[in-house]
Amino acid sequence: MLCRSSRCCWLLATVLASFVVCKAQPCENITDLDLKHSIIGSTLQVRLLLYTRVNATCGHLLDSENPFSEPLLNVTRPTIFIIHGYRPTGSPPIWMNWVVEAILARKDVNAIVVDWNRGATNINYLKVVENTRRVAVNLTHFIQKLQDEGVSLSSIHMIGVSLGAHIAGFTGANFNSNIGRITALDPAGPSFTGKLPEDRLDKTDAQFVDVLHTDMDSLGFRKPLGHIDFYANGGADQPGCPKTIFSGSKYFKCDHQRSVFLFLYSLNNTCPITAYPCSSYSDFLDGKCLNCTQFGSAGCPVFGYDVIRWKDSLVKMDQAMTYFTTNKETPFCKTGYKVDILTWNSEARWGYISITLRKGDQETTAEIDHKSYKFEQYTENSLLAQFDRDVQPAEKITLKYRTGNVFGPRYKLRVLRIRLTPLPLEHKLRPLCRYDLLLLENKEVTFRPIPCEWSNF
Amino acid sequence: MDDLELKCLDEVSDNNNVENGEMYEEVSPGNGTCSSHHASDITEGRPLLTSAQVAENNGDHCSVRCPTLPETKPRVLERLKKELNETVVWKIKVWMAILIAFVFIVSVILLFLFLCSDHQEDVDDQYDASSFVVPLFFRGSFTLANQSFVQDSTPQPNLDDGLPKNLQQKLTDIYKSSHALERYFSLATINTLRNASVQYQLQFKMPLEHEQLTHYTLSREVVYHVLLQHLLDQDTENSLYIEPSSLNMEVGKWN
Repeated sequence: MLCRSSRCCWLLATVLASFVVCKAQPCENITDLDLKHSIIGSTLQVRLLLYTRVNATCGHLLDSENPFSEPLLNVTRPTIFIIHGYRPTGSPPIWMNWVVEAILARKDVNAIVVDWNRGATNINYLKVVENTRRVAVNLTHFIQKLQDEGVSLSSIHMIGVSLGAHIAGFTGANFNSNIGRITALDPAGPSFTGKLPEDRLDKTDAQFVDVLHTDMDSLGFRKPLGHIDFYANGGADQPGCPKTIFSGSKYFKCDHQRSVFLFLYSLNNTCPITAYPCSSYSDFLDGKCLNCTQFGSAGCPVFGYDVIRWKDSLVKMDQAMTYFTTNKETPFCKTGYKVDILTWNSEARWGYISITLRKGDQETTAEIDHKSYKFEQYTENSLLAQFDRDVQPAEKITLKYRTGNVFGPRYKLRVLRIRLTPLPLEHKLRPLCRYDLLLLENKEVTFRPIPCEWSNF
Repeated sequence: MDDLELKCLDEVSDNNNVENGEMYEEVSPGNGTCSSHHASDITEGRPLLTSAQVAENNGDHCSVRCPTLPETKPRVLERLKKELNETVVWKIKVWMAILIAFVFIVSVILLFLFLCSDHQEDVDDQYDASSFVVPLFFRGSFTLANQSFVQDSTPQPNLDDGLPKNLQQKLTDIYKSSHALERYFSLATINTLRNASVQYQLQFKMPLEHEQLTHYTLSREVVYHVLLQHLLDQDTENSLYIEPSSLNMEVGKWN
């Protein structure tokens, strides 16, 4: 048998089809410019490149006046636009082909890359900001052409990165909230922060607007802009990104670009990232926002491409700020536990807890050190422990209590019960418990967890 | 004092009875600000300055720039070196005395911190067991897995004298090793031994004030799980292996 699975067949078909198509028509790529163009400035030129499952790696240039002259553009398929942002060096975005391929692997769509590199490449950022309006006019014109041929506006999804997010917003505004969805990946902050909704992306620009913030303290936008706003790792600094300027250009773009990689990762759906609606990142880290009862049986929304499943309830809610944490590289998803600790010390104790889960030779540690927690007698503390990988079921658990004091007495934390409940809570996975532990400061205590039973406290 | 003496060390050094260090500084008289001595090199050359001192402001401290003082820095260092090398007592020199004082102060601080950190008693480590007078009982049963019994349904307390005693000891050891329950634990008794099924009773003693205690520490949940987690940790080859799934417990009254 030549093909063992349908996926294999599809891949083979794609390769063969690409070969046939490519023979017929040259492949178009995003305009490649260099620093010279950036310094002298480039005049705006918008090119639309079509990718489908038949030509997943070979873009076809669309004629904006007569798009249906391209036979692969199919009105019955949904259309996804991918719009890049500011290109200070003129190079094409490295992630563009990955995003296109991941989208096409996930869904049979017309993936249209909006190449406005000529126009986005300019050392003068303000000039590029001016061009966003003109790109939006161009796109509006193109979408009207599609509409004339019977394409439904609600089947259009625009994915905009940085300035591209605002371009999607301006285009959507021209269709009175009828565009199906806008996904904004770290929408640009400079020149847009503090502007009126009509001068930036906002949630009235499409039926559903989902926004990811990864660099709100620098190149991104701080305030919520969509029906749901995801603040990855709090929305400002991303794990694994350099903290000093000595790391070169990575220092400037790493946090901002992480938004694309997080979205790209969400497309392959292997390890969904659950986002928790919360009033602040600090409250989320404190474990105060782990319930998603407002979403009923659907539970907490999942970040990324699949958040569309929560569209109805999110549109009704009007606006939701959600938080999650990620690893510094793929897989970005973390494994979370709600940790409830009940202590019996008659005097209150302060400190941090670290938890290590072990299964065979697998091991993962979570430091719950976001702040010093107060442990009071017979008062249950709920903490959020996030591990960089999934070690389930944990055969051994190691706990460590520390106060952070260099001098002073070595305190003891007297734990009556510790309970680790896997997240998300709506999956109703069975929690792990252990009773009667004495945690000496800075000393590890290892135990075998037991399944929790009923509790009356 | 109306005027101020100012002079440079390298020019005239025997006329003013002024200490070397003071020579480079102009001290304002009473309420003086900086004088205009920088304006003229000629006036600076004089051992006694007669230029008018402005007396409006209060005690400004101004330095005097001497035109050429090439030897000043080395001289100060030399003097400092000399002073540090002066003997205080016996063979101990000034610099040694300063170092010893510094080391002494740091050691006292560290010793103090060390003593504080080691001699801090945890209030929960101190308790008066004689004040625990109110009894609390838990009863239940479990099954022994590795014991072979004669197929007889009558109670056999004397079947093996050692067995109930060993089980009693096992329960006592478990609760005596518990951090939270040890202080309240009083007695474990094996009531009946029928086939492999064992009826047990646990006695705890609480202080007079025990409302919260019975709700949390001495709740059925904690007492039961402390025993259960020990049973789950035990070695299955042990002859006193208790089947964890057979364990049950309820809050009981003494009978």
